Amino acid sequence: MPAPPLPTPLLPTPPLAAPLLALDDLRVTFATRQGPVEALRGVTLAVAPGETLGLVGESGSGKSVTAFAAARLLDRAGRIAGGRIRFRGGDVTRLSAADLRAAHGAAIGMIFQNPRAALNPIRTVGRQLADVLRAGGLSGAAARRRALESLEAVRIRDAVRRLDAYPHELSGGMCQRVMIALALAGAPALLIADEPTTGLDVTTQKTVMDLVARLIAERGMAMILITHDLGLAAQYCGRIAVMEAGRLVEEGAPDALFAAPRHPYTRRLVAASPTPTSTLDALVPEAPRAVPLAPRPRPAPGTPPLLEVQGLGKRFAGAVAVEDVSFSLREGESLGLVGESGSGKSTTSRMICRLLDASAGEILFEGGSIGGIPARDFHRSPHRRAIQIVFQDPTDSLNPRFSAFESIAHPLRRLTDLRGAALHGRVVESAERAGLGLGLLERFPHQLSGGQKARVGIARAIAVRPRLLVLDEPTAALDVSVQAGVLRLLDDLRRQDGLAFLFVSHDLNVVRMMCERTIVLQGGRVVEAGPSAELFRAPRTAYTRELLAAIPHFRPGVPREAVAGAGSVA
Amino acid sequence: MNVLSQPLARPARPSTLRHAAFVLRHNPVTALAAAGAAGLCLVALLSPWLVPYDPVASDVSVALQAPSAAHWAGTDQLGRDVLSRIIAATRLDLAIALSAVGLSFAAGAVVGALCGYAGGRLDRVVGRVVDVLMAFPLFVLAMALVAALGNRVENIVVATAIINLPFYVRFARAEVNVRRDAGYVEAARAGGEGHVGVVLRFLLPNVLPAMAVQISLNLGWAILNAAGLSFIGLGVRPPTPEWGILVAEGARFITTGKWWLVAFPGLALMLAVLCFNLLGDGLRDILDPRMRT
Amino acid sequence: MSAVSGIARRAGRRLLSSLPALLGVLVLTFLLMRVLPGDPAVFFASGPNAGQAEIEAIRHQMGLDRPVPEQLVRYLGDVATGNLGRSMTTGQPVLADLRQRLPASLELTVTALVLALALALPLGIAAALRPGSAVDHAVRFLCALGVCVPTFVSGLLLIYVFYYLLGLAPDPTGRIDVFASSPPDITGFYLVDFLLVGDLEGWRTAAGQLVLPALTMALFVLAPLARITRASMLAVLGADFVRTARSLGLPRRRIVVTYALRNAILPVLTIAGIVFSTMLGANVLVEKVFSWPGVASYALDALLSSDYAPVQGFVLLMASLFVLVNLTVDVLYGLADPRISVE
Repeated sequence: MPAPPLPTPLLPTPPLAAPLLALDDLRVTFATRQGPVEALRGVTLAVAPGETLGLVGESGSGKSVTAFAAARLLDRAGRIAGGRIRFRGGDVTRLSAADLRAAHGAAIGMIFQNPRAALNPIRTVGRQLADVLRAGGLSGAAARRRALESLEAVRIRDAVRRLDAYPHELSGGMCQRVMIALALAGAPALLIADEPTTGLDVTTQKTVMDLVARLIAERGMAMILITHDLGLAAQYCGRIAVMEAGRLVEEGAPDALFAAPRHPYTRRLVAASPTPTSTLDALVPEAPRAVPLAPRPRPAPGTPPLLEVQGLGKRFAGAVAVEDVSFSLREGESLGLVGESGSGKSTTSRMICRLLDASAGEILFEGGSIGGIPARDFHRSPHRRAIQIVFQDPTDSLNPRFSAFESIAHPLRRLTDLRGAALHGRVVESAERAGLGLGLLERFPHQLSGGQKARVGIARAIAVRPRLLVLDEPTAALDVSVQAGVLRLLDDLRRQDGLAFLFVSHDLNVVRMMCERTIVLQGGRVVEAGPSAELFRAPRTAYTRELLAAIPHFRPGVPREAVAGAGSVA
Repeated sequence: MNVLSQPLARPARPSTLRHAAFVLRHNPVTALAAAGAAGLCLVALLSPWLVPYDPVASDVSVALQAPSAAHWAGTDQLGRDVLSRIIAATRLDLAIALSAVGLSFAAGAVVGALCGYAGGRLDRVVGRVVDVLMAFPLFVLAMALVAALGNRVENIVVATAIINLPFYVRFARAEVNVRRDAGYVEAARAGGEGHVGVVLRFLLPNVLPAMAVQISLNLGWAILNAAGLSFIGLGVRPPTPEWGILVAEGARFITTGKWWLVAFPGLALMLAVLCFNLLGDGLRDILDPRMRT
Repeated sequence: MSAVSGIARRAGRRLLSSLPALLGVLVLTFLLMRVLPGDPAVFFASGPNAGQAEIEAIRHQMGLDRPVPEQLVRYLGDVATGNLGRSMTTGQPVLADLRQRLPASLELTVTALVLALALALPLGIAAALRPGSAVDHAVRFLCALGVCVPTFVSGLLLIYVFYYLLGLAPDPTGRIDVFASSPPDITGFYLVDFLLVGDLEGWRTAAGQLVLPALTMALFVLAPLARITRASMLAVLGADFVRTARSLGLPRRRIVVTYALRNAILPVLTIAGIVFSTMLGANVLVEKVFSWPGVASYALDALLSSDYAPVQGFVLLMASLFVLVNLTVDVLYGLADPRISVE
């Protein structure tokens, strides 16, 4: 499909070498109740026409603020405190609202994370597209015709019918395509994509990003891709800029940058990002293990499995969430449960924790059935202590009214006889083992960082000395550098205590490092199961292959094409 | 290990107080409202000693006098001092509102929390009943209740409590419901807590602050309702001083320009409601964890 | 169109599901009235010195000596056939009384609601468009104050200012000046009827009588409406899709009206429904202050003189009105929000 003819650019085209967008010592402050907070402390950055720039960094690094400031879309609290923004050589730092309106859409297009929220919920897709086209000067009928073309351009099947669809009638990936169509409707010269695939499954992420990359290339547009995922940036960008705490710390071509990062922060970030070859030790190279590396526990042959699940099934209001899932877990073994959203992995883990009743199947713990005990009564079972869980969202899983100490002490009070000094000692010991500074024990959740909260959750789970620890995406809400520390902590704890892990995750690289065996779930069923090393090296089913291929990879020192190829061939 | 030897201090209280002080300093309106509410309660407690005149003693020689140095808020048709009657009425009005809101809060929080946590059929039925009650003209319901139960002060309390009830049920239900699947609830269950313990030890403490806001806002509403009922001649009866009755008595003289009979009791009503409403808004800010440092 | 049929289905379902609620109201009011103090038979009897025999006869004639369940069934049957009983004070059938007085109440309530919306929407929107500005503070102050002044106080003060002091308003009693004649009874709404017969002078008189009570009621509900408009508009203006619209360079008018306002109006609609039903209750106070000959003052008079039937009829009427209002809100909501019709 040929790209629609481009309207004449709004601003005069500069000489070829000149950058399309240039930020010069840009400073942004946000007004908060506690006074102004500096979000950008002088960012200098340029994007040439047709270039693709990846802006990477962890939360709070200012990467999104940079993009919003560059597009002059900061919300009311944000203010450009200094520096310049030039677009095609013209200063847009203090452009009036009316001129800005013309520049939006026609010069810079943006796509956002959470695409469904980014679309007007009570207006059809077609009308929203037509709104943009009409703002660009097209008449009603022409706008509708063009709207159809732009939906077809983003590969939306049955585009004529989709014109009359509302956003809630479309899937997340489809909404993001519509968003892309909207952003490109005004034929801008620059596309800013702010975490465009956060919240999308890895396979959807791949199709959406491939589409963006192709459209950008076809139309000769420049793109700024903002992401926390180094792999994604490496795969789709020609140049990478790394941000930390409101500053740009390093930039360069992805291969060079990731192979030989110069700045300490980049080095840490690159090391902490899981790749198909990374190991737990490599994630946090600068901090040696707290305890000598003991071999992972190996149960004596012949002992019965710690956990055995047979034909587990769950239906919610008639809909199948999990069906016929069977596996077993030996003492001290770590088993990974991977799958995309809706695969039933969390439901399965909830049933095994006895927080949710199964509709079918049997759960045996140390040879005894625990599936028959209703979840309602399981808190009185002697096994409650043996099976503990670490939750996905560290914030959500801590009682806002409990201090860290209280949170850790609570299961001890309910499940053990420890009281007084003994209880206190156990809490302190668990906190120390979880790497939580003792000074933090008096703090409340809102006074702790995400990584600290995750450690409180881990300390709480290990305090009662369980035999089986269910980890439900324990690091999904954390930045990679924090994730690296937490992952290794978990692995240490497991080695020391001989704990068994049921590790639920959507991140295959993490599961490969953490687990000896892996189960792949799709639509509530087991697709493939086997030793992790084998499963990742030579997946037997098409679905697992597709999952693996969809993960954006980078390997320090290995050309990207080779990596991409490895993913699909392996 | 130094830390091991001494039990950790249990914080929370001082930090909450500090936080409250911080918010009050930065939010003078709330401080003013809190002071006003406290002042009202003081007036209610001390009213027998505060009144300049006997609130029920009539003296026809000074009937219907405009506000003056002797009678700051004027006198009524029987020569009674309006200010004294307003002050004397504070106790009754506050007592009615407080006990009504207390009753409906206690019942509503428990029922609502149960429904919100348990869900299922009970929840649907209660939800439906509450919906119907809430959308029904509540003042009419209160009228009918008072008339049915008997024209007495206790029944004003009961009627006001009943029409307040759906708000608390719905509120507690919604607040508990959004937290029912929170991670910390599941964590508590994994930590060996039963359902009852989860509701009592985890959910209610987290819901109570929000309900405190609701209580404050509803106090104002309860005062208005009680005054409205006595205005139309239900519940409290003359010559008992009560704000609604004072306004009702003054209403007869408004077309002849005796404004003070309506304006001053009206002002008292308004100030009382305003204080509780602003206090509620301020509480919401204080309890909003996002504002915490 | 499928959307329309979806809304119709929804409305129908809603109507069906409100039938049990209506029945509940019927039973409840019946039981309430049963325990009301005062024996209507005594009231109906010839005088305070009526003999026991006479009272018994009346009780028998009214069916008050039958068991309660039987009385309930009879009552339900009566309601089903449109017989709401007879008022002892007016001597008329309750249905006729209500029919005659309902337009007065509705005219007042609807005028007040329209007035309140006409004030609250622009105020709320203006405040939300410039949060923290003088307009915003003024609106918030007005909202804080508005919910604190009871209608019976604000109504009386309005009378004092506009009737006694300024002489702008007519004598605050009734729907029409005592010396003027009421319009022919076509719809029962005076403003409409006067227009229909082309009597502009009469229309002006009726409107003059209506202004103060309607304003009183409007002031009372202005605050919640303005407040929800402001809050909802603020929330929507901060929403992702408004940011999208800005990033796409849509004209400001389109962003504010088509994108923000149309979304923001949805919660306002819900609140407006609740407000209308609150006003039906608040009518009691306003009608009393302005001697407005509506259904609420009728029910109140009956209530104070232990006259069962009008109160029962009034409560039933309120319940039906409330079902209708909810239905209207539902339909409007369905039209405004495509997400609803799916479900």
